[in-house]
This record gives sequence, C-alpha cells and structure tokens, in this order.
Amino acid sequence: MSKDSLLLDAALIRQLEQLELVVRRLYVGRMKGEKRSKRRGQGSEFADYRDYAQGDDLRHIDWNVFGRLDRLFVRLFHEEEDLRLSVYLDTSASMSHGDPQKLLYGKKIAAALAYVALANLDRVTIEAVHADGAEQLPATRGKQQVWRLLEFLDGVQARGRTDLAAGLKQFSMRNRWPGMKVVISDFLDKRGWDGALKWLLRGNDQVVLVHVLSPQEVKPTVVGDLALEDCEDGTLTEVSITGGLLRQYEANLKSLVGGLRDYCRTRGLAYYFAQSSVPVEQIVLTSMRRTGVLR
Amino acid sequence: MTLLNPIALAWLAVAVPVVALYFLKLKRKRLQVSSTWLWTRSVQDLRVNAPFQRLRRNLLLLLQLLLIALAAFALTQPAGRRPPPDLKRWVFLIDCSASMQMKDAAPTRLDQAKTAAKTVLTECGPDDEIMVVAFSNRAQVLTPFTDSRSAVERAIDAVRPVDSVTNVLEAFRIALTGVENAKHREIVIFSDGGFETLPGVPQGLTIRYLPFGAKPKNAAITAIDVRRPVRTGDPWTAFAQVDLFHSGKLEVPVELYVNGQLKAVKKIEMSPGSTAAIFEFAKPEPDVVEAAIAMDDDLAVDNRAWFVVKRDRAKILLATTGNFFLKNALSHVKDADAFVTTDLASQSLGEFEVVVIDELLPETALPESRYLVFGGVPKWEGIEVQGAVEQPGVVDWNRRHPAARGVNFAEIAIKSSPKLSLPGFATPIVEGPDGPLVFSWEKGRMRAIVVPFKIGESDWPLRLSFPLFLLNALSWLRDEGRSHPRPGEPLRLALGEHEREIEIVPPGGAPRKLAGEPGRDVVFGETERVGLYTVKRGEGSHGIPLNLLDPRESGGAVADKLETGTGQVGRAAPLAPPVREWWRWLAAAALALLLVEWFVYHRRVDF
Repeated sequence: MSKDSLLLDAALIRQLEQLELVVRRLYVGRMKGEKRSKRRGQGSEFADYRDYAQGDDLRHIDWNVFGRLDRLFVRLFHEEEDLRLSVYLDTSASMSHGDPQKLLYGKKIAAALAYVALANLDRVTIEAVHADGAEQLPATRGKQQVWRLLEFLDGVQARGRTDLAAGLKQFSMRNRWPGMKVVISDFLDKRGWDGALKWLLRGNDQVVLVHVLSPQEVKPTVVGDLALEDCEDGTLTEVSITGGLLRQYEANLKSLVGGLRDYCRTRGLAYYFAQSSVPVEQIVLTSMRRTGVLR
Repeated sequence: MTLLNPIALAWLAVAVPVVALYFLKLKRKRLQVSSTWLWTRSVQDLRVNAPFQRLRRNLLLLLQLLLIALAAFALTQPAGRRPPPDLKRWVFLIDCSASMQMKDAAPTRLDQAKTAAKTVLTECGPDDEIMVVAFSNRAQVLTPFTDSRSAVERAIDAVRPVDSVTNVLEAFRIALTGVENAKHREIVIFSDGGFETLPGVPQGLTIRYLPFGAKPKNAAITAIDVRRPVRTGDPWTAFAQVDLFHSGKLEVPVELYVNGQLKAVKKIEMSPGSTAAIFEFAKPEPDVVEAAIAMDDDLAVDNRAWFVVKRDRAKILLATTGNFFLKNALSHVKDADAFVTTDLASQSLGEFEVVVIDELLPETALPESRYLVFGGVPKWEGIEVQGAVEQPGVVDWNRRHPAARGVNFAEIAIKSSPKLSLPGFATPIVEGPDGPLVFSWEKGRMRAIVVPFKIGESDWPLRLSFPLFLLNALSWLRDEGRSHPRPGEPLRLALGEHEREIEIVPPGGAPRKLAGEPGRDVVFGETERVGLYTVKRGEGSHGIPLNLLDPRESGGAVADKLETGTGQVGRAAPLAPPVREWWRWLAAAALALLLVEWFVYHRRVDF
C-alpha cells in the first residue's frame, strides 16, 4: 500500500491527536465525554448559580457566598458529554473518477475527522451512500475503534448513481441525534443540490460540507470533438471542445461552487472546496482549523 | 475571359478531402467522464448565448472551400481582354521544318530554338503580349497574343518538328499583321535561315534573328525513280540520287528495298555533291521501292525515299472513225489496253484513264477526265477560235513540257490549223506563227492535250516525233512521273463513283477513315512525316510516298543573316540561360498547406 493510498499516515495521526471537533452550539450528549454539554451537571466548568432548593446536593452549596450574603446558593456546572459526528460519504460512481481519485480523497477526510472525534471520545457514524443504497459504520466511540473505522472505509467502493436528495434525507432521518454532520461529495447531481441540502437544516446540527472535485473536473484537458459518456447513467453529450465551451464550463463550475458556498454561508453551514490534488492536511489541518471546525 | 491553364481546375478536387474531413469530424471519440451535467449545461448555455454557433462552424468550412476555389481559379490563370497600354508586342517565329531536326546542335536545332525562345520570353515585360507561330511549309499560330508566360511556354513546348520544306512567308505575314498597330514591336525568328528573302520590314519593327546549327554532316536522297524494263527480259532500273553535305570524303552505304525486302547495298565513295546510285533487278515485280542511306548522320528524315510503281494496265479509249496511225500507235503502248469506239456518247468515260478523241468532239460538254484531242478544239472556258491558219509552220516548242520531252516538232507540214487564243491556265506546247499548234490544259481534275489540227491532213504521223509525242502525252495525262505531294502538304484523294469512305494509314500511325460524297475529293492533312502512306479502298490498297527530296533542307546551311525587302538582319547575340518560374509550386504548396490547416483545425482547441 503506497503512502498516497493510506487513509491516515503516522504524521497526520500525530497532528490529529492534538485536535478536537468544535461545535458552536452545546448539545445534550448521551454519555460522559469531553464536550461541554447543554446539561448542567457534574462537569468541572462553572456555569451558574441558583437558589438552593430542598434536596439539592449540599456539596454544591457555595459556602463563601452564604458567608457574604447569608443566602444559600448552589453552584451549577456544565455537564461534559460526548459529541455525535455523522459523516455522509458520497460513493456514487462519479466519485471513482479523477486522478487522484475523489473517493479516496473523501475517505481520507472522513478518516481524519473521524479520528479526531474518536480520539476525543466522541461518537462517530459513517455512511457511504449512493442512489441504490448505503453502507453504515454503526456508531463507534473510543480510539481503539479507529481500526474498525479504517477497515470500513477501505471496503467502501464507488458504484451507482448520485441521488443527494434521497441520500441526505435518509441520512438525516437515521442520525437525528444532534451533533456535527459532515457531507463529503462532488455534488454532481443532475437533479441539483439545493433541494437535497434542506434535509441538513432540519435539526440543530453543525453541518460541514466538503466539496471534492478532481483537477480534471476543475480544469478539463480534453480536446477535439468528443462524445462524453456519463459514468453513472451512460448518457452521451456531444461536444466540440472550443475555448468558448471551456470558458462556459468554467463559469458553470464556478456557479456550482459559488452557489454552494453562498448557500452555506447564509445558513450557517461550513463549506470547504477540496480539489483532490490538494493534500488532505491542507484541508483538515489548515482550512478547518482556521474556520473553527477543528481546534 | 479565358482560362490560360484550365487544367488547374483539377485543384478543386482538394475540396473533396476537406469536405470529407468535415464529415469525418462528426465521428466523435467517446470519453467517459464523472458527470456530463456541467458539460450539458455549458453546451446549452453556449447555444443560448451564441445562436449562430453551428453556423460559425459551417462558415469556416465555407471559407475553406471558398479559399480552395479562389486558389484553384488563380492557378487557371484567368485572363481578360483590356485596352492595350504602352506595351510591346512580340512574335516568336519558330522554324520547325525538316532542317531544324539536324543534330549538329545538340540535341537538335529545334530543341535549342525552343530553349532560346523561353530565354527571350524572360526579356519580355510583364504586360507585353507574345504570339508564337511555328512554321515549316505552312504556318501555325500556337498561341494568339497573350501576356501569360505559361501559355507562351506551353505554346513553345507544343512546337513539333515537321519533315517538310521551309516557307517563312506565310508566318511572316501573320507576324506583320499581328504587330501592325503596335507601338513597340519585335519579331524574333528562331531558325537556321534556310528560306527565301523576307518581304520589306516596316519602320519601327525590330527583327531579331537567332540562328541555330553549325556545319552538318548529312547524306540525303534527293531524287528517286524506277524505270520499267524496255524489252521483255530486261531488268528493272532503280535510280537514287544521293547528295553529301559534308566538308570531307565519306563512304555512304545505300540500300535498296523492293517490296520491303533488302535487294542490294551499294557503298558509294562520295565527295561533297551529288552522285547517282543505280540498281538493276529482275525480280520481283516491284510495288514499292525504297532507297535508304544506312548511315547515322545529322538528319534522319532524308535518309529514306520511296517510289510506288503503278502496276495496273491502263484503259485508253480511242474515239475515231478509223485513224490507222492512232490505232496502230496506241496498240503498241505497253501496260495499257486501247479500246476503239466511233460513238463517244455511248461510252462511260469514267472507266478510262485517258480518252483519245480524233475529230469526234461532241457538242456537249466533256465530263472531267483526261483527254488527248486531235482535230478539234473543245469549247472550254477562255479558248477562242478566230478562223484558221493555212499551212502554219512550227516556230518553237516548249521543251520543258513533259509531252515535248525528246520530241522534235520541226518541219511538220500542216495543211490548216485553227487560230487560237488561250486563257492563262492553258500551256502552249508547240507554237506556230499565229498561235499555238498544240497546247495542254489543266483545270481542277481536268487535264488535256489538244492538237487542234487534223493529223490526217499533215505529215506528222509519218514522222518519228508522232509516236514519241503520243507516248509522252499519254504518260503525262496518266500522271506517271508526276511528283507526289510533299510532306506537310495535304493529300487530295478522289473517291470512286460508288465510294463513300476510304482508309488511310500514315507511316507508324493509326488508320484514319476519310468519308465524303462519291466522286468527290477527300483531303488528308496529317502529312507531317515522310514515309509511305497506305490508302485502302475496298479490297485493294495502294501506297503514296511522301519524300523530303529537298537539297536545301538536307543541306541545312545556316544563314548568317536574313535578306529582307528593305535590307539585312544579322545574327543576334547569344542568350543568357532562361529563368524558371516557381510561383506555381508555391501556389500548389499553399493549397496543400490549406489542407493541413483544415486537418489541424479539426483537432483545434480554439478559433
């Protein structure tokens, strides 16, 4: 296995160890974790005071305040619970294209984020979705599960058509527990993406979109008169590659990327455009840290 | 407008591969992509934004085709008429007669002349007009006045040698007429100068004379004849006159072929001048006799000569009431059968080669034939009878006339003869004190010798001159010894009474059919080559020999200057080698480049 085809290498792992996922909102977790919870509880971080009520744990009474004010106040602490990271990995046939391959790139990003989550005792769910079905990695927690995660990602193959709307709908239904939702896709869906992304807005989740495209898609190098065959549905499009057509293609690509970016900005979603030739580290360690998804 | 090089239209065929490539272009290469979504949108957007996109592609093809059409059209060198500017008119007179085939100027004089003509062409200005005329015994305009160099070059290349004598006058007159109104004009003569004096040259006309050839080494046959045996058992005699045009002595082998078989070879030790080679042979009975000089000299066309011997017995009709002398004399004519009649009107005159009329001239007009008339004057155009002359004595006779050859007409006593006045085309043979006593008549196909007085009323039949005259007259009337057409002259052949077509086979050529009305003449003009031309009529055939037999052509002397009616024209200075034009190749390369461009465009990324 060459270094490029490794989902995570040692150097990246070392750097990922230092990071944790950041969510702008506080969620109620299901288990004790390292994330501050919305719930007041047994955490170490002071949250607030409230009047003592009968039955409260006497250990939480702030005796210093009682000394000054002669009133009983109970100290409240943030509960520290786990975070739920759900990753949607588009595995339609179109993801198998590109050099470097988009799917492999998507897997690397998924693996990196999942590793950060597992290292911080967060719960991780990964779904590899295409129009004909989905493969799921059941919720895992704990760093020791990272091998299971990598094994799952290794086994994922690209096939079938893209149906973002159906895929994201199922994804959001299956992962109702709030948390961070990461969608890794090329967003090349002939039915469009805006209808599909609505499913991500239903909950109160932190949503991260990673838009993966290959260099060949960003800057086509094809020439001549061609019959382009869609790898998913086999439809043919006859084109004569001219400067005008290439310019129009670039404009349409720009509109796709710009449209997604604007959509995400106005709705508080995080959007990352990743060309598969750009090192994963640049996206995960630089871009995501800079924009506060990772810390 | 005319196309000077219409064959260049073939370049339009270049459009075929261009269009083929255009259609081939539609066969697209298949390429699998992750999604055609963006591409489909782009193509649709492009179509919306540029509704003439497809038209633009077709427009490019149209432009390519238009360019090919224009380039091909340019290569055809279209030329139009326009008012003459201050240009010069040139006439190239190129001698293509037999002497120009001499090899003393390698490869031949004519080839050198053609090269020189192309060299002179480079001196002509871009707007100058040039006419090319080739001349041998006749003139042929190969291109009228044109400013197209390629047309002139093609005309020069088209000059072919003719095995004939030289007659420059017709060509020179054409040239003079052509340059008549030109302000600047020049006639360039490419020749060896073996021709007659030129007419006067008008003021302002430049004549340039470029001679070709040096001192040739040439032996030629300049005459050929075959004589029948005089008595039974005597051999046939073939006579060939050989001329040597060379400065030293030379041994010339002369071969004799009878009916295509080599019969004898004679080696003649010759000095410059003429020598006769005489061959005698008994068998076979000759049809065609050929004399040939078996020597490699500077001119080949004069090394062979042919003679066709007439084998048919002639039919002679004698219309007389009983002239003993005529009957007796005609019955002794060899190779002829004499038939006697007293009623000329009852006979079909077309069957007889010669009709002898003795005092039985009909009142009606005589049909076209050969006649020997005694004791009467036919009523032919221009002949006037003004009474009679009593006892006319013979004053003189035309010794050059074939009928008078070796005949002594002196001292013939005649009782009376009509007094005649003859038209110009009648030739007096024997002259009396008051006019002709015997004359010949030739008009069209009619040929006659008329003895207007009654021979019965003279002592001529008793004299030796009478049978001699009779034989000479019959021989002349039968065309024996008459010179055949020369090479380059048209062959005129009479169709028989029921003949509509004859076939003629030129030497080394394909048979040609000549058709016409029965009894009329047909003309065969392709007689540029010496040799034996075979005429096929029905079952039979006969040959017509065309021999050069011209000492001046065979001599090939190169004139240092030309004589004109107004002076002399000297030899012009030698010429620089000609320049070559490359533009045709460049234009053709441009067309080829266009083809490549289309191919490259076919794999284009932008336009």
